[in-house]
Amino acid sequence: MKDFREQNYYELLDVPVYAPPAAIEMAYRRAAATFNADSVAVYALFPPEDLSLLRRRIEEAWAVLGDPERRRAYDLDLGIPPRPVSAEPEPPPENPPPALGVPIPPENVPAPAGAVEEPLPRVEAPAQAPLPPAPPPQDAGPAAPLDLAPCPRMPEIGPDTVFDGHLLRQIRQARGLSLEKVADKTKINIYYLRNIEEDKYKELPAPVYTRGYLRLLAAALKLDPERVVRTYLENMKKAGG
Amino acid sequence: MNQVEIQGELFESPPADGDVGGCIIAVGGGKGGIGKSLLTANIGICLAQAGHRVVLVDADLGGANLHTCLGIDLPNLSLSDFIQRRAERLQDVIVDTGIPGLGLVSGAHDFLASANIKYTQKVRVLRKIRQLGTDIIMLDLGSGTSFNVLDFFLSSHLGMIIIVPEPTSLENSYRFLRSAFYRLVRLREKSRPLLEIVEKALEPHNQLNIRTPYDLVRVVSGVDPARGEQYRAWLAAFRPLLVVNQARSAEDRKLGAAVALASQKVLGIGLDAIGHVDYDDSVWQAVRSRTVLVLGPQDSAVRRNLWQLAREIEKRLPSRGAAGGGAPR
Repeated sequence: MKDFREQNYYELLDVPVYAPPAAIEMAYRRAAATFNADSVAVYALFPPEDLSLLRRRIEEAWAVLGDPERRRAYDLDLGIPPRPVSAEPEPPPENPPPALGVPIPPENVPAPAGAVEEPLPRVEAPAQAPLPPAPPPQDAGPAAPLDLAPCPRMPEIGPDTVFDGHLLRQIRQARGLSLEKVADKTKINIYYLRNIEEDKYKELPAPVYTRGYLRLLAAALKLDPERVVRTYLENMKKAGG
Repeated sequence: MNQVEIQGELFESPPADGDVGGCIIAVGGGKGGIGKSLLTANIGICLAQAGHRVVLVDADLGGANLHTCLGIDLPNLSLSDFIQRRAERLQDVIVDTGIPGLGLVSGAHDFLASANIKYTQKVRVLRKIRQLGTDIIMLDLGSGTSFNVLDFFLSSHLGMIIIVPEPTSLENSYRFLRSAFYRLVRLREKSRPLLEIVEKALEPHNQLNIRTPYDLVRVVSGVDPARGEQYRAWLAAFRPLLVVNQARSAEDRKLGAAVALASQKVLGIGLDAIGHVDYDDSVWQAVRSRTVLVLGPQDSAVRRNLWQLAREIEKRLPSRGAAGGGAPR
């Protein structure tokens, strides 16, 4: 039992060291929602600076444990041996994401008509962990030409920068990340990512989910999640979104 | 018997030979008016209907309400009669509720005297509660964090905290949990230097910067590592039940899990979130009409919630003579 300041990232997210990625993501989302500044669960629990510190540590934990390469390096640092190969399949996480890897949208958000390429079913827990998608066949035709165009310049970011969708897109492009790549990394539905960048507030889910998505996006773009969430939502509120 | 010996008997030792091993469940939470009495009464009824012999004790000294929640008039005999020795045995003030298997020790009549009972009177009450020959005793505690409330809570086998999804309730509950743990340690610690550290922890802006039970364990471990390990064990074993009352949304229903996570992460106090009760008009209507919520003719989500809570409590009843989750043994 340790104070959160002394916990390693697994302890911070309350996951075992060999937890599968879906379980880690679920634990991160639970922690992010619980320790959100607006959450009634943390009211008067501890000073604001400690809450900020805990939230930063949770984001760090996700940034490391959610990235397979960084997680491997972190495990080495902690002296955790590679997961032993076992004949038994990994147990399914508590509420795993759908087999297609598409996040389940919040209940009160209607499925956008024709805006997503794949259906978003209500998925029951699968009997075992979903298999990764099959790699494309080797003879899939000529390879797409390499995109040798230089990345746009990184925009200036200062202490008073207000993050709107346009700026987030610029930063994403400056980092050489496609929207698909960000969707894959953050597991956020590409539809919502596009709406965030286009400031289509009415097409975004309830604030508690949008907040989580903004936080994940900020982490993927190596930005300060607090500032991104605060300024984006302030804009949204001003626009009546 | 001096104070230290009394404290040791109640908060450290297993039940004595005179104790017949009924499970004491103390219902607290810090904030008033959040439904502790209503939940105590109705869960008690469910447990009685499930076949257990249950006695409800209205330990809300000076603010008795259990009889109202049970739909009965203020009984003639009460805890006050036992405290003032007008009744010699606690069994003599148990009144029939009209519900098979369920008895009631009503709260005291006298406001001033009963709300400020002496320490020795409190210990006598606690000792006699332990000796009641029944399966389950549910103590309905008052609000706040007075020593009386905390000591009743800590003397139980299972402590249960009720919260509502409001910041004020959470604030009071966290204060209650911290206070309960510090009180527990305060009652058990005998070393003068360590007692001084514990006393400091009770001060909000103390020089040792102890703000949470984690901090207390850390500071004590720095002075006496072996004793710090003992504190750590007490903290790990202190694990009250948690119920969310007046839940109005899906988010409210999940609040128990969120509060349990927050409490563990920040305070070091684990909570066992066992369920919720929905907000429903039928609740205030039942209270206003003095009818019993769980005995109504129609099924409702609230009744199902209450029965579910009773089932969860049943699963956690310790075996006779074993300790549960009020004060860790």
